[in-house]
This record gives sequence, C-alpha cells and structure tokens, in this order.
Amino acid sequence: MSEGTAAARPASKWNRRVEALTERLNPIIVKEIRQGLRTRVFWVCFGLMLLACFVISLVAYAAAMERSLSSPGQVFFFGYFFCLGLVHFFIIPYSAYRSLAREREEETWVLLSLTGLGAKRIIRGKFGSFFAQALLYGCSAGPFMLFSYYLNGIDLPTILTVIALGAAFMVFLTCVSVCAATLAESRLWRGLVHFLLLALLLAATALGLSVAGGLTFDGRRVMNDDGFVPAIAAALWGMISFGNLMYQAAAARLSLPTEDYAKGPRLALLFQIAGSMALLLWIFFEQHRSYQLVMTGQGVLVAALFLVGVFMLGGAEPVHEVHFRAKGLSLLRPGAVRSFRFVIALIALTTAVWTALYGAADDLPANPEPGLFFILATGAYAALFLSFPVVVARLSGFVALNTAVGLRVLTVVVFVLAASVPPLIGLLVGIRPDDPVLNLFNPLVGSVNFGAVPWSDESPMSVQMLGVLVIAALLLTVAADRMLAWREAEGRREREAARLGPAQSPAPGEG
Amino acid sequence: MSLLEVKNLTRDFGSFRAVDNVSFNVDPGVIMGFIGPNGAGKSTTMRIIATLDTPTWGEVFLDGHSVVNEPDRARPLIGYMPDRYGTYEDMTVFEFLDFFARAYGLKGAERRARVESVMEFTRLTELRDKLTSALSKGMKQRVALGRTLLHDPKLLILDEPADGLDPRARIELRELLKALGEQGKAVLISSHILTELSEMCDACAIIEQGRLLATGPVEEILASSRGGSAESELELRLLSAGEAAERAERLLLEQPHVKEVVAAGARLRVRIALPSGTTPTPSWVDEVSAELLKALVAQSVPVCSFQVHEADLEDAFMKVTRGRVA
Repeated sequence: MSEGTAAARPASKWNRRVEALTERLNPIIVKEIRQGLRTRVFWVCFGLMLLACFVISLVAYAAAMERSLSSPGQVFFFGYFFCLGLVHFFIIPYSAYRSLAREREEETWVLLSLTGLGAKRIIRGKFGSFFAQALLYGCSAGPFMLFSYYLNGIDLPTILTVIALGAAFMVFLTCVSVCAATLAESRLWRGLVHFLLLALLLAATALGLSVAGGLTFDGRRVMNDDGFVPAIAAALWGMISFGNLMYQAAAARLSLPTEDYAKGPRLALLFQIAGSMALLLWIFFEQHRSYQLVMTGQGVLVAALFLVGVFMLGGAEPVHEVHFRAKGLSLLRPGAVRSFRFVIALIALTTAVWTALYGAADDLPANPEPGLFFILATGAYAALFLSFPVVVARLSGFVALNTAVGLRVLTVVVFVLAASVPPLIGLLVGIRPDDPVLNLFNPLVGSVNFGAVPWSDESPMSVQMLGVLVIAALLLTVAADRMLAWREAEGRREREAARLGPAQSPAPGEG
Repeated sequence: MSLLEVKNLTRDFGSFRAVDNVSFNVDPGVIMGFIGPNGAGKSTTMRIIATLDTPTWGEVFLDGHSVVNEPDRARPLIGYMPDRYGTYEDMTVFEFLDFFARAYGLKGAERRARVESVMEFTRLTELRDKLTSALSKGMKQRVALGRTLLHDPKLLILDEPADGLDPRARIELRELLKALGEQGKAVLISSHILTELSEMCDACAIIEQGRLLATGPVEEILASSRGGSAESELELRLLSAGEAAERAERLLLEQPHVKEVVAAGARLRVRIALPSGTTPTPSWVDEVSAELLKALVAQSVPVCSFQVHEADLEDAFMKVTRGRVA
C-alpha cells in the first residue's frame, strides 16, 4: 500500500468549503449528521413538524381575520411549541439513546475507543450532533413562534423564557438518555432500561409541555411571583448539575479498563453538592435565615446523595494494579470501597453543615429539637440504607447480589420494603400506621416523625430513638466499609496468587 | 527486540481462568496464527493486546510500550478487527473510512490520500459510494480490514477474519495479508480454519483452555510434530485395484514396521510404527519408506505413486492439544 497512489476525487468549491468546516469539528458530529440526514425518522419528523406549524399558521390567519379568539398569540404560540416540544423532549433524547445503545450493541463502540477519541469526546460528539439537529428543528419552528408574537396576547419575555427553559430541559433529557444507554450490559437489562426510558421520556414530555402551557397562558402572573426566580434557578441548577453528573457517569462507564474511570463522576458529584450548598448558603445568609430552609436543604441534598449513592454502590472493582496506582486523592480513585466512603463522607459533611447552620437560623421555634432530629435522622437513614444492602449481599454470599446491578436492585428493594411494610403492619395490628417505634427504621415515615412540627404537643420521637438510629447507621456503615475493603483485599490476594502461580508451575509445551 | 512481547499473561473472570500464563513474541513482518478451539482464550488474549481489557497478571509490550501502563502509546500501533466487523449500515464505504480516518486524527489532504490508498489496497475503490448495508460479507470484511489500516499500524490483530467467508473472499483475504506481511506489518490472526492459516502464516501459537501449548515458526512446529513421533502414515496408489491391491496389502502386512493397511480401491493407506521402546530418529520414516517401496517393486506390484503423508497444522494441532489439558 503506497501513500497517495490513487488521486483523490476532484472536489467542487462548495464541497471544499464544507470539508474545511468539518475539519475543525468533532468527527462524531460529522458522522452523526451524515447518518442522521439519511434516516427516515429525521425527515418524517422534520416534515411533519413543518406541516403542523404551517397548518396552525393557516388556522391562526383565519382566526385573526375573524377575531374569534381574545388572545390568539398564547394559543398559537403554545401550538407551535407543542410541535417543537414533541421533537425536543421525546424524539431528540430518544434518538440520542438509540444512537449510543446501537454503538454498544453492534460493538462499534470498541472501534471508536481504539481510535484514541476517548469516551468523553465521543459522548460530547453525540451531544453535539443531536443538539445541532435540535437547533435545526428550533430554527425551523422559530419564525412561526415569532409570528405568534404579532398575533397579540403573548409578550416577548414569556416567549423567550419558555424557549430557554425548553432548550435546557431538552439538553437535560438528552443527558439522561445518553446515560441510560450506558446502564445495562445484558440484553434483558437493556430491554428493561429501554422500556423505562420510553416511559420516562413520555412523562417528561407531558411535564415539559404542561409547564410550557402554564407559563404561556399564565406567564405574567407566574413570572411576577417572588418564588419564580429561585424556582427557575433551582430547576436550572438541578438540570445542569445532574446533567453533568450523568455525562461524567456515562463517560466513566464507557471508559476502557486501562483508564481511570472514577475521578470524573466523583468530581461531578462533589461539584453538584458544593454548588447546591453554596446556593442554599447564599439564600440563607442573604435572603432568609430560616430553619425550614435548612431542613429542606438537608432533605433535598441527602435524598440526592442517596439516589446517586445507589448507582455508586456497585462501583467497579479495580482489575489491575494500574487502578491502584491512579493519581489523586484516595477517595477519587477507582474501587467500590472508595466510592462508598466518598458518598458517606459527603452525607456526613452535608449533615454537619446543616446541623451547624440550624443553630444560626433567626426563626428557631420554641422547641428546636424536631428540626435538629430531622437533620441528623435523614443523614443516618441515608447512610443506613446504603450500608445495609452491602452487608446483606456480602453475608448472603450470593454472587448475583454482589454484582453492581444486584446491589442496586437490592438497595431499592430494601428501601421500598422499609418504607412500606411498617405502616402496613401498623394497619394490620390495629395501631397507628405512623407509630414512632414501628417506623423507627422507616426512612420516609421515620424522617417525618423526627421532623414533626414543633408546635405539636410533643415530639413523637425521643433522643434515645435517635441514638438507636444513629448507632445502627454507624455500625452498619463501619461493617459495610470493612466488607468492601476486605473484598478489595481479597481481589488483590487473588491477583498475587495469579502472579505466583505461573512461576511455581511452568507452562507445558512452550517453545 | 520483537514488536509484540506477551509475558506470563493471565486473566481471571471470577474463579474462571480464561488465560493462563501465556507468553509469546511476534516479530515485524511475521504473520502469526493464533489457533485454538472455542473458549480457548484467543479472543481474551487479543482483547488484552488491543488494550480493550486488562490482565489479572502479566504484561504485554508493543514496540517497547506496555499496553496496560501506556495504552495511549500502544493504541496507535494497533489495528484491531474484532470477530464482528462493526460497520455502520447507513454510511457509504467512503464515509465509513473517512470517519475513522478523522477519528484517528488524520486531516485534510493527508486523510483523503490515505483513505483512497486504503480503498485501492483493499480493492474497495469501485464500492466507495455503496452503503455498507448493501455489501456482501466478504466486502464488509475488506471494509473492516481497510479501517484497521487507516492509521498505518505496526501490528494487526484479526479475530476470526475468515469466519463465514466464501472461498473467493478467503483467497482475497490471504493475498491481502501476505501483502501486509511483505510491507513489514506483524499480523496476529486467529482462525478455526487451520488449512487457511498454514498457507498464510509464518508462525503460530496453539492455545487450549487458556494455556499456550506450542508456539514458534510453522515449520518448527510441523517438524516437531513429525520428528518426535514413533508413528507415521504412507499413501500409495496402484495402477489398478483388485488383485494387485490385495497382493500389495498382503505383502505390506508382512513387513516389520507396518501396523495397519487400509485399502480403498487402488489407494492404500499404510500406518507404520517403530517397535515400542525405540527412540525415533529424524530419518526413520524415510528409511522404512524406502524399504517398503523396494519390497513392492521387487514383487512387481504396479505402484503409481508412493508418498509419506506430510503433517500439516491440523495434525500438529490435534497432536499438541490431544489430552494435554484435560
């Protein structure tokens, strides 16, 4: 094979310009756009969306002539946004999911990895190509939306807010879908994930369109509300930080075994928690030093940490010394034991910060105990329900339970059982479903009991009960930590045995 | 220094040991066949060499770079073709190769020239605007091979590339691999079709149940398969069947080293063996053959052809793997 033995085809001026432009782009974007423009889905969706917008415009024109609607702008803007929203909230994220899932099913992912592009760049390329498609759809629907402004009844800030929030939601859903494509390995789990994602996207589309409808028809009132800006800021922050976390998690799952897969997601989680805490601290010190804000902050952050912890529990074990030699802080290195410690450390840190902050609230109630109990109890519940499944899986000895998926399923099952069985027992034996003792280890009813409103006659939970919960959480956390550490040490011993084995018994027939 | 050095490679999946202390070398320009039954550990070994997996223990060096500790340096030297070719069905041949050339970091005129050059080498130029979904298996395999060559790697790792190909596509593949070997590229190729490998490989490694049973140049393995044995086979063809064949059979069975004669018309298959306890010399088969031929000619048996059955890779494989690892 000789270099340049065959002359390249002569290219037209236009082709050369396109070529020069694509040189600077991520190769995945070029590939995906080439493939995307060839798919029937793109042309059918694009054609149908334009057709629907055109038909709505004709109806709008007719309505404007007859003056049959009082504020036609709102109705027709929502009509156009509905068409765009279906594509942005469902088709684009689902296509991104299918694109990555197909790469994995057909094993072309392996070929991409070997080119040296790297998991993150490949995923960014996927995002880029689907955002380019989304932009194309948006640009096509844009003139129609602008047209609705001239129909009166809707103002420009409302239009821009709905479009901006819609775009952010689309980006977030695409991150979720891409992350979902990396979740499952086996065909059965892939099928389940596919089904769940379809359900999630349908629900998200309905939610997105409902919010857009609410803002469109009631925009002025909603946007003038004091809580609107903080709510939008919180929603945007949630989408950005969770989107980033899912992007990092997807890249980690798709990394080659020779790469340090742990650092990205853990830094993303740290960024999310630190950012959320900074945001809430700013609100606390600058806006409203409320004890309820502290309790809400603890509840939301611990719930987020528990949710992320469920996925981090099954952290892949290091398979080679190269992982143990990974640089950086110990908690950022690969391995299930370090991912467990990382989440527990974040839960402890969050609980400590909110506990300290609780005392600084201006509006502390006469009986401050329940709020403090709530903060400590939620932290303890999160640690307990992340540790207990690890201990159970390890003690049971079942291989299936000790896999990443097995451990996640077990955690969810344990949580659901703990949250639902005690109230049912209460109903069956004729005592209150929210009985304090019966629900001591119920993460939902227990949290509510511990945080019971301070103006009630008496807190249903005692400090002794909190002590039992905290001690149980501590013991289980230490036990889970030791078990995970022991499993890692066991893996190391096996590797050492593998190293020594060949030296003791030379391979037969070699040479 | 060899281009590829595999040292004590071991890979465990839980309690199952897929690759057990495998060591071999591949020099530049050498086509090495990697032979073994299904589940022998060929694909696992190849994936580790291709940086797609890590060993439980052991090391792999590619041009002096460890594939575990320096995968980023090793990867550009590797062209890997898995057993599934992995083509994008909705791209043309040119678009597919152009995409991978971009992914490998080739730019502008260099990329275009490289893609054209690879298409010419793999005889894909006429198919450049065809969708890969419209290609036959043999053509897809050439596209996949072209993809592995885009970044001019020093080592090609081909996992079962001849699987499912028709005879013509196999011959084309063999020619392409020979040409690559002549260009100085090392090729590690696994296959079940041992006759194919024996024609194209310079060296081979035989693996079974994760353990390497033999490795070295094909001639050496065949010679060790022939030379060390106290048994061999001869093939005779007579002018006619019937009375001449019966006479030859009787005569041969009277000879001291003949253990068995199987007649099929005018063809006879003769199994010869040394007495137990006798150490085989390199020339014992030739000496016994000469004696038998002399005896047949002396008795006026009309012999048309008389030859020692040459051991091939299949024989070597069967001999090396038989009962070595239970």
